Amino acid sequence: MRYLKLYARFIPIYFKSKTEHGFGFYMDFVGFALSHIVSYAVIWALMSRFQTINGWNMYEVMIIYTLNMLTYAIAAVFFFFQMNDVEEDVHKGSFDSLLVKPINPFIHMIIRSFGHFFLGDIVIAILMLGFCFSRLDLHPNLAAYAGFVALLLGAVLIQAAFIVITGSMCFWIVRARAVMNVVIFGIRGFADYPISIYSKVLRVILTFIIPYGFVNFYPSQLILDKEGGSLFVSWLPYATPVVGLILFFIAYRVWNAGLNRYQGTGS
Amino acid sequence: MPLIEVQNLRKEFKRQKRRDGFWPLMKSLVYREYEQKVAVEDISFTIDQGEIVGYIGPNGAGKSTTIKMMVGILVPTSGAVHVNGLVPFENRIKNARRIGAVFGQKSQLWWDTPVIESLRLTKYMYDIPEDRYQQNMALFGDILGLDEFKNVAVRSLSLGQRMRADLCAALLHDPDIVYLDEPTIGLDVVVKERIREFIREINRERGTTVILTTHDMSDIEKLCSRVMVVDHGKLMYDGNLTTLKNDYGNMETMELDTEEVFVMDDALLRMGITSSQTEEARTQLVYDKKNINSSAVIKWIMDRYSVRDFKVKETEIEEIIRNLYAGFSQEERPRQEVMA
Ligand SMILES: Nc1ncnc2c1ncn2[C@@H]1O[C@H](COP(=O)(O)OP(=O)(O)O)[C@@H](O)[C@H]1O
Ligand SMILES: [Mg+2]
Repeated sequence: MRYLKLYARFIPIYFKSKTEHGFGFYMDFVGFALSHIVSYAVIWALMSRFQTINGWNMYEVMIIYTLNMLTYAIAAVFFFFQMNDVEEDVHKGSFDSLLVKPINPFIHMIIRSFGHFFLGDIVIAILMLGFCFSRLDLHPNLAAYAGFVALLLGAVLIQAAFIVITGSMCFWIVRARAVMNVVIFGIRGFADYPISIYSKVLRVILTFIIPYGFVNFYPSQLILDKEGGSLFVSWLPYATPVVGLILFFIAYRVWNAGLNRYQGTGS
Repeated sequence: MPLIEVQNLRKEFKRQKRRDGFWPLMKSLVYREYEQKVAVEDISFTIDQGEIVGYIGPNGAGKSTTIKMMVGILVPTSGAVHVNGLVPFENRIKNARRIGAVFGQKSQLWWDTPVIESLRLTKYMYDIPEDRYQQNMALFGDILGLDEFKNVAVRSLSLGQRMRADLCAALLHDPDIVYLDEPTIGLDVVVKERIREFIREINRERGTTVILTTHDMSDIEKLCSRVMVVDHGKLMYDGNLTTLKNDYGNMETMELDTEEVFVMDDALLRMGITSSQTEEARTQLVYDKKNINSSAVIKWIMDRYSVRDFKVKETEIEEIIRNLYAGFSQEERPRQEVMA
């Protein structure tokens, strides 16, 4: 509660200082979002040629892509620039300022900034989801919406966990984030398409090791009622919220280990 | 019970040898090389409520490291710190509510935020009651002159302005203790004076305990009743300033400009001169105040040289500290010998 109140104090100030930049501020949304148009065009070109890949039609593939983008954008609003700032702070030696304040540094890290850049992505994603749903003639009932939200939250936690884990590497290694980002960014890219199209090895990795499959593929099986196409065991589509919680918990532990290391307790 | 208790404090840094580039970085993930560095070695002291303590020492002596352990930012390798009965790193958040900290050039405020908003965020973060906030803002704003830049973003402030804003923020919540790590570094004299006045005022009015590190000896002379000197991580002196001056500050320098070339003589050594230095026409004679017959010295010189100019300088605190360091770093001699 106290944290939410504090957040409510920080956010208006953040926006006030950003909107002072005027035009540039609004361009931030647009610039980021434009890149997705290209991706949608690629999917469209691909799918108008093949009709379906692995039993997924164009709108379903677009939903897969959009879910990856949406959940990442939501996570990024709260973590992307925030973890960037942490790396910069650690690098410059100004991270101490998070450790002299009477508030959990993890919370402080989140609330002191805001990823308004990603709001444009979120808007586009929601529009695209609506569009695809209507094309597929899906009319979810209330319970389905509730389930959808739970899956979405789980997926956001997964995305957030990876941003936090890679970002926390700065406590151990100088400028590690750039390298880690390339790796993670590449792997996340696989999740832009249904992971059932990849080789067995990749599917195992994307399910059990770096489980981006739970961000969109497994939830989509459920949302889109894809029977029979299940990979591994049949209950995986329900697992996203649990996977999200577990991964985020791990991420928080990694962050804390990083803090301990920063404070010099070894590890 | 003392407010701050530090016992046999030690901090070692295991510093990873730095690598840049992709492959060296990958390699360092697997195999790491370390260098060991003892930053603080077996330091003990206690500080009571209401003291203003100057913590001085050359660069790299371990001042900041000690302070960071007292604040709870760093965990000691061994030894113990108790502040208000708490172990800072174990109770960092609880401890943080009762202390303020300012670290030299690194602002504790939010970078993109105007000063006044930043201070208001501080108010919320520390749950400072509105009336207390107003009172403190009125008092601090006045002494520190915050009005002239309160709407400027922290990142655009000059160094002096940022320091003033930081000081204000560090004291808004009426902390028992404030740690100031180089609060006057790089500032001009006017701002320095303003900051000193603020520290004095806070200490007098609120009884706030102040621990400050500095390179500027006038900070020490104007503010601190007690000085701690560290070098190479070790506490070399802990006592009041007058004693420091009395023990080590009895040296005076006599500066003369002579027509003739000055030649040092054994007679002068017997009269108590401990060292001499001649550069062209100017000669400096150093001696212990308590240990010299100055009229005899002057007479001896006047008899032999025509003196154009003559001055006596008391050793400045800088000089005293420099002498202390010089003595320590050669080897650890007992104090009395340092100046002998
Ligand atoms: N985070 C760190 N990692 C490795 N070495 C450090 C670190 N912080 C300080 N040191 C080293 O410890 C010693 C003491 O540093 P510091 O406490 O900053 O000295 P001071 O504040 O007196 O100038 C220096 O030799 C410094 O290089
Ligand atoms: Mg220092």
